[in-house]
Amino acid sequence: MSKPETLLEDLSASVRKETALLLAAAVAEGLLGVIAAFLTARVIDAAVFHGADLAAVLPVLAKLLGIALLKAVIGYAGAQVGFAVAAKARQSLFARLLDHVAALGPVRLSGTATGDVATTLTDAVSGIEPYWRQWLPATAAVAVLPVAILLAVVPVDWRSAVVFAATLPLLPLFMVLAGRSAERANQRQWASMARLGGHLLDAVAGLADLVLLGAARREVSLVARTADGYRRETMKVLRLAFLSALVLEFFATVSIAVTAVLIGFRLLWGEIAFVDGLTVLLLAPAFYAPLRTLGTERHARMEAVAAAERLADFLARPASRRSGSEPFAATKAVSVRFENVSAGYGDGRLALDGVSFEVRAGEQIAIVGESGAGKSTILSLIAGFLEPEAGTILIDGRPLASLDLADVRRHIAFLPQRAFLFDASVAENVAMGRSGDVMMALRAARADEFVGRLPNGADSRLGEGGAGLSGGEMQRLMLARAFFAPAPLVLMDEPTAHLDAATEAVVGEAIAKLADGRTRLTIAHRLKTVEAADRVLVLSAGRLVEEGRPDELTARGGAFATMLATLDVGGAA
Amino acid sequence: MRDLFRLLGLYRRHVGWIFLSMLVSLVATLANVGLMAASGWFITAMAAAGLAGVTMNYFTPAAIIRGLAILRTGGRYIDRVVGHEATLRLLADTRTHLFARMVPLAPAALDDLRSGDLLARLKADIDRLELTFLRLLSPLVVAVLTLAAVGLVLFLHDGLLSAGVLAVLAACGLLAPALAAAAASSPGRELTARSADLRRLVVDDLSGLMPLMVVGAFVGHRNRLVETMASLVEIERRLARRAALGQALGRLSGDLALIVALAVSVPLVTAGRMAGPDMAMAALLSLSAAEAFMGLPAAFLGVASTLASARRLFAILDRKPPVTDRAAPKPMPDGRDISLDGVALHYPGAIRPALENMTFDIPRGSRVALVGESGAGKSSVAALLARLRDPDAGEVRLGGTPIKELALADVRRTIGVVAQKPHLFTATLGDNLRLGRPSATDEELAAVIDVAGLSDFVARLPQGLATPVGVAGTTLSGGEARRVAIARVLLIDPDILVLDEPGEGLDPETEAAVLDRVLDRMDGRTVILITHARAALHRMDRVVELDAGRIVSNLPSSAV
Repeated sequence: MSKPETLLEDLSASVRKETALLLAAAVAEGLLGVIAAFLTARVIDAAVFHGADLAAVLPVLAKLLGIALLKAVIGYAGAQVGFAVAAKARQSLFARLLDHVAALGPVRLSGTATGDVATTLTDAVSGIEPYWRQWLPATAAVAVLPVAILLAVVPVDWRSAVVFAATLPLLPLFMVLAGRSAERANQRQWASMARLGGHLLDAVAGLADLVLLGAARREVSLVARTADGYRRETMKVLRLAFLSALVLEFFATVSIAVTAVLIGFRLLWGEIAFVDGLTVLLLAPAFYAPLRTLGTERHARMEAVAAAERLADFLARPASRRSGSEPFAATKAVSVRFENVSAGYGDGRLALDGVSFEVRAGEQIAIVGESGAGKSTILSLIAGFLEPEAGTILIDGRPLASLDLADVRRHIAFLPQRAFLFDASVAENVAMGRSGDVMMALRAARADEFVGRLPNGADSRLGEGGAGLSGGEMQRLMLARAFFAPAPLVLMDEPTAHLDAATEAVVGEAIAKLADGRTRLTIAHRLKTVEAADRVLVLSAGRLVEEGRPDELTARGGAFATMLATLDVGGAA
Repeated sequence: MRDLFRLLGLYRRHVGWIFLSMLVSLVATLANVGLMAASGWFITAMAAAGLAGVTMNYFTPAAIIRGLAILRTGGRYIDRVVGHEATLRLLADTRTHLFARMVPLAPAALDDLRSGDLLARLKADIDRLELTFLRLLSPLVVAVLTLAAVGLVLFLHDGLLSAGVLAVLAACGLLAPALAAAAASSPGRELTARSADLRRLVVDDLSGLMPLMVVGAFVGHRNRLVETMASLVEIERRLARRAALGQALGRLSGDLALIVALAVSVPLVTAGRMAGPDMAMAALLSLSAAEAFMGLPAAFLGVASTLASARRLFAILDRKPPVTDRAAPKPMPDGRDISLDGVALHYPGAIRPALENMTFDIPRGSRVALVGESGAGKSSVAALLARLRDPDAGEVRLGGTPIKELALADVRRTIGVVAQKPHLFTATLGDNLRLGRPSATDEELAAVIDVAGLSDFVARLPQGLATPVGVAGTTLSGGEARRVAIARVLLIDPDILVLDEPGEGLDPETEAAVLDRVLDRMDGRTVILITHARAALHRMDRVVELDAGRIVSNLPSSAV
C-alpha cells in the first residue's frame, strides 16, 4: 500500500467508531431504498390489478413516506458524521504537522519555500476531507448493497437474480480494470490541468520580467497555444478514458432494458406475478447505482490521496532526534566547545567536516569564510536546529545532546542578517510572550525614539514583515527582542550587513552593549566586525583552516589574509 | 448579479459548444428518465394483456426501450466528451483572456501579486471559474428543462398529477437546495475570512520559526494555531449542516414525488380515468426524474464561492494600468542622456513619498551608482527609468524627450533593467536567456553567458543550455539566477543598463568580476548600478546617495 493511503488509514483508525457509523449510515440508506421498492410495487399492483382505492393503499403510502423521511434523516445524520470524522482527523493531523514543524526546526525547513509548507499545513489538510465525506461511504455502499439486492431478488424471481448474479462477478473485475484506466486518465487530466495552471502562474509571476524584456506579447500567444495544446491532448486521453464509464453505463442500462423486456414477456405468458416483476424492475437501477456513485466519487478519492501524498511526504522528512532532558541554567556567559564535529543537511554532503574549537566564556568570536564554508552551520548546531553527525558539542562543559533544548535556547540571543517581524504590535514583537519591560529593551536597542514617533507608540501594529519600517529600524527591534531577556550566548549573522553607514554605527553600538560580558559568535562579512573580535575562526569548505587573533592571522599571511582583501570595508567608505 | 452576467460574458465566444453540451446532457437525462417510465408502462401493459389473455403490440414499446437504452448509454458518453470539450475550450480562452488583460497592468499595478500567496489564490479562482460551466450552469439548465418535460408528460394525463409532482420536485429538488445554499452564504463568507486568517498566521509563524523557537514562544503560537483551526472547523460545521439539509431534501425529492404520484393516480385509476400502465409510467417517471436534481445542492453551494472568485478576478482586471502608450508616440530621439527633473512619486497607502523633488542628470556613457538604505527610493528610480510607473510630479527625459511621450516598447528596448528579484521561467536555461531576443545566435548567447560569468557553470551542466530551470526543473542558486537575469538583459543590447542589487547572492569576488566584465561590454553606454554594497563604487563615475526619497549627495566616486 502506498504511503498516502497508509496515512489516510492511520487517520481513520483514530476515528474508527465514527467511521463505522458513517459506513452504517450509507448502507442503511441503501437498504431502506430496497424496502421502498417492494412497497412501491405493491401499491401499483393493488391499484392496477386488485381495484384497491386510495383508502386501501394509504397505510402502505404512509409507510413509504416514513421510509422516505427516515432515509432523509439518515442521509442528513450521515453527512454530519462524515463531517465530524473528517474534522477530527484533520484537527489531529494539523496538530501533528505543527509538532513536526517544531521537530524539523527552521534550519531543516529553510530549503522549502514558506508558501509550500503553509500550503501543506492548510490546503493539503483540507484536501483529505473528501476521503471520509465522499469516498468511504461510497465504498461501503458498493461492498454491501449489490449483494443485499441480489439476495432480496432471489426469492422474488430467481431468473432475474441469475441475470444480476451473472454480472456480479464481472463487477469487481470491471471495477479494477475501469478504475485503473479511469484513474490513470483522471490523473493525466488533472496533471495537465495543473501543468496548465502552473504555466499561467509562471507567466504571471514573471510578468514584470516579460514586460521589461519586451516579451509579453509573445507570451500571450504562447499561453493561448499552450492552453489549446492541452485541450487537444487532454481530450485525446479523455475520449478513451470515458469508454470505461461507457461500459459501466452499458451494464446498468442493459440490465434495466433486458429485465424490463424479459419480465414483460413472462408477464404476457403469465409466468410471473406482476408485483414481483415490478419489484425486480425497480431494484435493477439500484443494483448498479452504488457502482456508478463510486465512479463519480473517484475524483474525491484522488484529490484526497494527492493531498495525503503531500502530507505523508512532509511527515516523512527526517526530523531531529529528541532533545536531552537535563536542565540547563547559566548566568553571565557560557563557554562553547566543538570536538571533531561533522554535520550535513541530509544530502550526503558534509557542511562541516571534523571541526574542533573552543570559545571561552565571554569571548567575542568572528567566523569568516566563503559562502557555503559552514559558517551558519556552526550557529545552527549551537542552537540545536541541527545535530552533528559525528563529534560532540559542549556548552559550559556539558554535552549539548543531553541538555533540554528549550532550556539551552533560552540562553541564546539570535540576530539574523535579515530581520523578521511578526504581523503584531511592536511590543508583542519585542516581548514574544515573555514578561518584562518592553520600553527598557527599546531604549537599550536605541529604538525608543522611532517607536515613540509611530502612531500608537509600542502598541502600533506592524504589517506583514514589518512593512513601513526601514531596514535599520527593523534590526533595532530585533535587538530590542534580544535585550528584553539578555541571554549569555549571542549568535549573530552580521546583522548590520544591509544597513547604511550611519545606521550601522547606531546599531553596532547597541550590539556591542548587548554582547558586553557575554559570549558572542558572529558570522562576519565586514572588516570592522572581524577587527573587533577577540578571535577569528576561518572556515573553508567545511573545515576550520585557521584560528587566532585577527592581527596574528593577518601577519601570518594565510587564508585569512587573502580573505581580508575581499571583505567589505563597510563604513570605511 | 452583475458579476454573474459578467462571468457569463466570459463564455460568450463558446456559446455554440455550450448549447450543444447542454442539449446532449438533456437528451441523456431524458433518455434515462424515459427508460424507467417506458419500462414501467411496458411491463404493466404486458401483465394486463397476459391476465386478459389477449395479445398486444409489444414491438413498438420494446423497440422504444431498446432505443432509450442506447440513447442513454451513448448519450452519457457524448455528454461527457462534449461537456469536457466545452469546458476545456472555455478554459483555454479564459486563461488567455485574463493573461492578456494583465499584461498592461504589469508590474506596477500587480506588485502585490509577487507574493506567492495571492498568485496561488488567483490560480484557485481561475480553476473554480472554469468548472462553473460543467458543475453549475449545465446541471441547473438541464434540471429545469427535465422538470418541464416531466411536467408536460404528466399534464397530458392529469393536471393535478402534474402540478403535485412538479411542486414536490421543484420544492425539494430546486428550492430547498437553493435556500440551503443561501443560508450557507454567511458562514461561507466567514469561512473565507477565517481561512485567510489561519493562512496568514501559519505563514507568519513559519517565517518567524527561528525567533519563536529561540525564545521558546513556539508552543504558545502552536496552540493559537490549533485554536484557530478549531474555530475554523466550527464555522465549517455550521456550513456543512446547512449543506447537508439541502442535500437531504434534494434526495427526498424523488421519494416524495413518487408518493405524490401514487396518491394522486390511485383514485384516477379507481375512477377509470387513468389506465394502469399509465399509472406505472407516471410513478416511475416521477421517481427517476429526481436524478436530474442530484448535482444541484453541490452546484448551488458553489455559487457563492464562484462569485467570490469572479469578484476577486474582476478586481484585478479592473485595476488601472499604471502607464499607457500615447495615441501617437514620438519617435525615439538620438540622444541617450537621462534627466530627472523635480520628480516625485508617492505609492498609494504609503506613510511618506518614495521620491521627493528629485533632480539629477545621467549623461550618455556615464556610470552612476545609486546608494542608500532599503526604502531610500533606489528601486523607485529604476521603475521610473523603465517607465513601469509615471511620476506624480516632474519629468523623466530621455535624450531631451519626456519618456511619457515615447512608445513603451522603444523605451524598454533602450533601457534594460535587471530587476532585484528576477523570475526564471519553467523552461530551459537557453529559453530563459533568449527571452528578450529569441532570434539571438549561439555566438551572441555564448558572449553574454561569458560576461555574466556563467560559462563554467553552463559547461558543467550535463544538458548544457537545454537544462530545465525554474519551478519544475533544477533550481538555480540565487547567485546563478541573478547572473542569468544579467545575461538575458545584456542579450537585448540596451543602450542604458540598470542593475538593481546585482551582487545579491554572489560572493564579493564573483560580483566584482561580473561587474567588471559588464562595464567592459557596456563601454560607451550608460550603466546605473543600484547597490548598498560599497565595494563596487570605485568602478563608477558618480555616486548618488538617496535617503527617504531625497538626494543626500551626488559626488564623483573619487570623492566618496
